[in-house]
Amino acid sequence: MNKITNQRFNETFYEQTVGSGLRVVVMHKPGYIGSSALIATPFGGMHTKLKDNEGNIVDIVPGSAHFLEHKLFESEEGDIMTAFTEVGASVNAFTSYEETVYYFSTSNDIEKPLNMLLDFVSDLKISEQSVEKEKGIIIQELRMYAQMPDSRLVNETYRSLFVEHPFSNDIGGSEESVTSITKEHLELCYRLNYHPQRMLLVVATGEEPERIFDLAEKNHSTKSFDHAPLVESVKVNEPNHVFREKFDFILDVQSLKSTVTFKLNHHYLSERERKNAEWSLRLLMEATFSTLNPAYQRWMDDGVISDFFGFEVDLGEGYGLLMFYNETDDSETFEKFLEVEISKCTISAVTLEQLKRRYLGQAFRSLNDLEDMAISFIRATFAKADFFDSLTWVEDITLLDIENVRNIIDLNNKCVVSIKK
Amino acid sequence: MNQIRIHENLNLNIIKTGKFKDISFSFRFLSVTSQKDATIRALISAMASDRNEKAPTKVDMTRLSDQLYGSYVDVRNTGYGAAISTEFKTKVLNGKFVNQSAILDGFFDWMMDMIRYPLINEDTLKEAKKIIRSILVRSMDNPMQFAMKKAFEIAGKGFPLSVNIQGTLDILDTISMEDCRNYHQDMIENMRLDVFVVGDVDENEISEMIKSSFLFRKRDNVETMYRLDVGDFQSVEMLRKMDQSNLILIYNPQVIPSDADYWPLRVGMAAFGQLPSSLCFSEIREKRSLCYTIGAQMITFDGVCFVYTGIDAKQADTVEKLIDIQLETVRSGQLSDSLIEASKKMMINSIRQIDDDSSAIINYYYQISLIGRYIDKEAVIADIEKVSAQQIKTVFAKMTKVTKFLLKGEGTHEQNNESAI
Repeated sequence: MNKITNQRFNETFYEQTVGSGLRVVVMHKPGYIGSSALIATPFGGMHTKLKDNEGNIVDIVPGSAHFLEHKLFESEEGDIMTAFTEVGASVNAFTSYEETVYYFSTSNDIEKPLNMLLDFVSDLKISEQSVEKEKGIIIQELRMYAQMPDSRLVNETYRSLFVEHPFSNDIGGSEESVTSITKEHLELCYRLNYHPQRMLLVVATGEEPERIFDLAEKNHSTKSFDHAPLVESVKVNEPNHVFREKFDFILDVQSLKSTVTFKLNHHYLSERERKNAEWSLRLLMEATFSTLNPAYQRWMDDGVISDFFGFEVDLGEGYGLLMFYNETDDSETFEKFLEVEISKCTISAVTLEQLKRRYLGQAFRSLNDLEDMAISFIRATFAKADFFDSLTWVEDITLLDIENVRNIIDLNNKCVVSIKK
Repeated sequence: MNQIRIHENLNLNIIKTGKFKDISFSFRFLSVTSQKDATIRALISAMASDRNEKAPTKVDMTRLSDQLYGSYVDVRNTGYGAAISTEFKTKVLNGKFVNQSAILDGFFDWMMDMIRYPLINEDTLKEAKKIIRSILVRSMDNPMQFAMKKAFEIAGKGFPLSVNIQGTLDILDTISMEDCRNYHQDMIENMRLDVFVVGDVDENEISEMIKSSFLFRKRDNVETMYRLDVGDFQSVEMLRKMDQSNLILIYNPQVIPSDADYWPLRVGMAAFGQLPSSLCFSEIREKRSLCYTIGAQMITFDGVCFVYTGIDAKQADTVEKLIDIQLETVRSGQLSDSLIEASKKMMINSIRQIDDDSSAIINYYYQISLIGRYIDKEAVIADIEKVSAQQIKTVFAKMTKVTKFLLKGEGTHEQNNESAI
């Protein structure tokens, strides 16, 4: 058992790899009544091409990771959700672009629900009939998000921005792709992505760590796992240009909204480099497009921006974006406003220190919630980053870093997406 | 919890705990609800969270907030039956993590300025009106949220249930600066005030800070719980160009939290439609794939319950009939013992987990104080454990369906899976 303590955050976690190859991490939170346990695989909506150990490329139908998440809750012994409620534990799961996570929380003893979590994730038993039945539920889910303006706007923005990258697909896929998914395809996805050696179990709890490791070891020692398939996601060569520069879609809504998104082409290889650049860009944008800037009040008074206005920065492996969103029926004026302000944006040393202080406070606060803390840990680990380091990356940002990152913004390489009536 | 009654209807509640990284403060002002009051409160909330007389610009506010490691005051309104509460909620990082033991002093002054001296003038009112208008218009674009609001308006006509806590567009423009100033003054000086502090604090120090900040005078209390009249059943349909439809069914058992059959109703509701193993979820979603979202909730202080779901338009009648059948299952005493026990376990689990979340702690103890029936959590848990199948059957006999609201999608998609009851 490996013990890692961070004095500054006053937090300790323990880690151990059990016999099956599953890495188990216990984030020890003395004084907490409840426990949250999360098991994750680095298989999400963006993994649409995988390469196995023999070099074979496997095409994954968009929406498969999410479909699989739905189907893992099925068992021959009965409904899994019912079994969790019977022991007083609340179970759920989510699929993002990067990962699928199954989790429960409970204030009762952790042994039974932890065993149930490890059991159901280790066993996919589905029938063709049950796969067909699930399609109706997933299609209703897709339609629900499609008629929510903000969710649809983000999806259409990604669809406009990316040519090859799987971000152009919804995490849940499309009605067509979901309809085409078969039992055999889900079983293949499961085989490639759910081996214990590929997964990570994180338990945030007040319980003694030794007990959690013992429970995980005991549970997996009764199971047999096939040889671990070596799988990696195939890197996508995303072109520099956007897929469509302008796109409008119609929704029956009152409030019209637009996004203006700049495609960022970068060559940062490591997660550390990307996050340094992402923070640098975020701080520069924060200094300009937030209440730190005295002009912000005038922009609001003049109706250039609304209270809905905001921005997102995301730099990942092989992609990058800077997205602005606003409530407006005049996307052209919004676009011009952004171009002018971005070209003159700046940040002072004083503002940089002010923002670092803000985000340091946020880092401390993020350690209050068991589930949030565990999810952050999973994401840092899958991105090959150190969890505690990732909390304070912002502190290392210099004015020079910020000056350098400006160069990746190309004002001509953008897409504009609008909701129309 | 240490409860200190500072004066009549001015209560300070301190929950001392060292497990969080920060200290949470909540100030809740309570008065009788009306649509005009709700709209004024919405405007005050927008202005108070934006600026105050000591920090008259957004830039000033942001600078002060960042000095306190990103503390901010969230001002929000919540309906509690016949009453409305405006909460000023904020958190400050525990000074020991950043070697600043005096951080609480500066924070307290800043927080009290936010509460007592919001900047209310013609300019800030104009901006607040613009923001509230945007929020109201935007909320109409979320189909489920819109459907729920409409259903509450219909079912609660002439009662507090129909009040939109975010305000209404038709009243918004009639509110003057004087209305807001007078209302705010009345709030600070006369309305019932409950203060909650959660964190590692010196109870005497906090008590003195609060005592020195508010006038020692009798404050007005108001009734919160009421019973909505059982009127004639109303069915209303609205059309919208979208693929999915939203169905809301409202039931009026006239049971409020001070009633003896309140916990039997809550346990029965969990089994009927709140848990993933509930009748509605398993029969309508899991067995028949007719929806992705379905759930049941109580509007505690108004004594009513409702079911919400997102479905295909042509399945609306089928789904309604299926919900009726599930209700009848509970009414006729056919709920399984295992589902009842699971419902109790999950409710008790949620109550125990409250201790791990400072906002949940505050919400829980505030509701308990408004209900006036319990002193501690163990008494609530004991009452939940005592609930019998017969009590659930008896209280569900009082469930009268009073409203059906269908926001009907006119989309072109049709779901393939036909379903028979």
